[in-house]
Amino acid sequence: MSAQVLNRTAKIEARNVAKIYPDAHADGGFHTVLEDFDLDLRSGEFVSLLGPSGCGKSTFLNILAGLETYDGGDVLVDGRHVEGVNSDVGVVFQSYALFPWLTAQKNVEAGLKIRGVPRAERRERAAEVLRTVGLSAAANRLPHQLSGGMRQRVAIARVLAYEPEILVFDEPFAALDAQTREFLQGELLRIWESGRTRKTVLFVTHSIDEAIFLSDRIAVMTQSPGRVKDHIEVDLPRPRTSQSRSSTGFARIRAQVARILEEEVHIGNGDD
Amino acid sequence: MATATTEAVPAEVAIRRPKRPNAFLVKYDRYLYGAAGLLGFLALWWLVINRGLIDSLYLATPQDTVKAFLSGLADGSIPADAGPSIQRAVIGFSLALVAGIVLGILVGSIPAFGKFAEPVLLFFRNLSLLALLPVFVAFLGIDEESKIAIVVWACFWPIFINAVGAVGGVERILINSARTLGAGRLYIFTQVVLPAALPSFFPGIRLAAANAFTALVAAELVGGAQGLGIYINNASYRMQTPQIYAGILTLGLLGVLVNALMAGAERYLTRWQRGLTTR
Repeated sequence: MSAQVLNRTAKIEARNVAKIYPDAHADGGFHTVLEDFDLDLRSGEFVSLLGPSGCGKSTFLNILAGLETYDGGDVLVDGRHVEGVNSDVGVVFQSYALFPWLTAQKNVEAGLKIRGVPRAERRERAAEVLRTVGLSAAANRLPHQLSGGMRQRVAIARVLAYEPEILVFDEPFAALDAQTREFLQGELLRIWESGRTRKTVLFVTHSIDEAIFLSDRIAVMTQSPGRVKDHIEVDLPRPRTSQSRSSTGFARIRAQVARILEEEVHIGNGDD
Repeated sequence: MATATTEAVPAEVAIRRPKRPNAFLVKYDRYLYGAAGLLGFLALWWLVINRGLIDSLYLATPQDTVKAFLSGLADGSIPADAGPSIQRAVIGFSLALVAGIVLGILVGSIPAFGKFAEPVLLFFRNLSLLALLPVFVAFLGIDEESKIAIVVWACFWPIFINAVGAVGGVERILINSARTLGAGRLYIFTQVVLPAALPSFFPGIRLAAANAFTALVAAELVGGAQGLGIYINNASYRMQTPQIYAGILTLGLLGVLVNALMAGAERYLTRWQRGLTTR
């Protein structure tokens, strides 16, 4: 019923999403993680979901990926409610989540194997994607023989290989050192911009700079219960390079975002 | 003269050659210690009989045991009894392996299953096998079925209990990432949970392999036509002490072989972990 009145042009629509966890220690025996959470993503848009830790941004990502259920509101992808795992949504996790017993190549092939793609085609496609992420030389190595940055590139390749229309990232670079992080942010943009069709991306992060560098738009979240407090358009020209980071536009947006987040942290602390 | 040379090239004096470890010792270290331990054990065994501390009616000397073992091998009496025993152990162990892992993954990964099964499992997991022997004999007689069933029982529990725990230890995120890749239950079961939990299955599997022969000999002592338990029993009726120990030696050697096979299987199946763990 409610789905019919919703906006048809959006790729992803979230309306009044609520998520409640049972929690014996909290008031009333439950903890509200998300409440009145609204977010739209147009097709081909790169949106970062930015917020303090514990604000529920990863929870929304899991709901969108179908890994968690929600307790109210609507989450739609292409106008259809999310029910269970949607294989059109590819997820890159913070802790890589690679299969440690499979080589980089076989990890990348996994999604294709599940889809019944024949062996030869699978290999060819995996080799191609590994080339895209610059890891051809590491194809036959196991995840634990790779550095953190390389592992995350394999995880990205694994998702790219089966070409989902939507990519979601759950703080993928948070565990990496600063140089590797900046390098991979650049790589991610290069890969995203070079794709045949622009994929719709939802990128969860708590780093302001990362959100600005990557996104078309930043959705800033409130402390718990989490909802989207403000949207900031990032009007920096693409393709973005390391020079973009030192531009005046970048600094202006950073100040703007920081102000919003600062208020949030103050309110959050005041409540406690 | 000597002092003059030292002063002329002080650098050479300062360099101390690193002490190189003895390559032979490094390579054969454990075998040397092992051989010494084994020799000591054999010497002690021989000594207690030779000094008359234990009557050779109860304990055969090492040389008599080996002699009885070799002649048993030569006249085919040991292989004739070991063959059926090995067959029972292998069949029973294999059945328990499949049942233990399949049920272990089911109970371990479906919480409702685990809750239902827990009290029953708690009751059975440590129940003495010997207490159950008469039950097996009553239901299945003293033929192959009851002997194999006893081996299955003895092997099933360690594999199953261990598998339930191992499955619980599989990282949630691996399963989630497989789900987002589009994997169904069967794929997750066979391609994610099984390989992820496999290294943790092995302690249970090795314990089960050791249990297999223990349980089997107990079952064979109840009766039957052929088997190592029966060989030992018959030798004891005939007061053939060396043959008793030859039978025990055969069981011991089989145990060593089984352990080596299990260690090899483990090394092979968890080879992706090399360099990841300290093993």
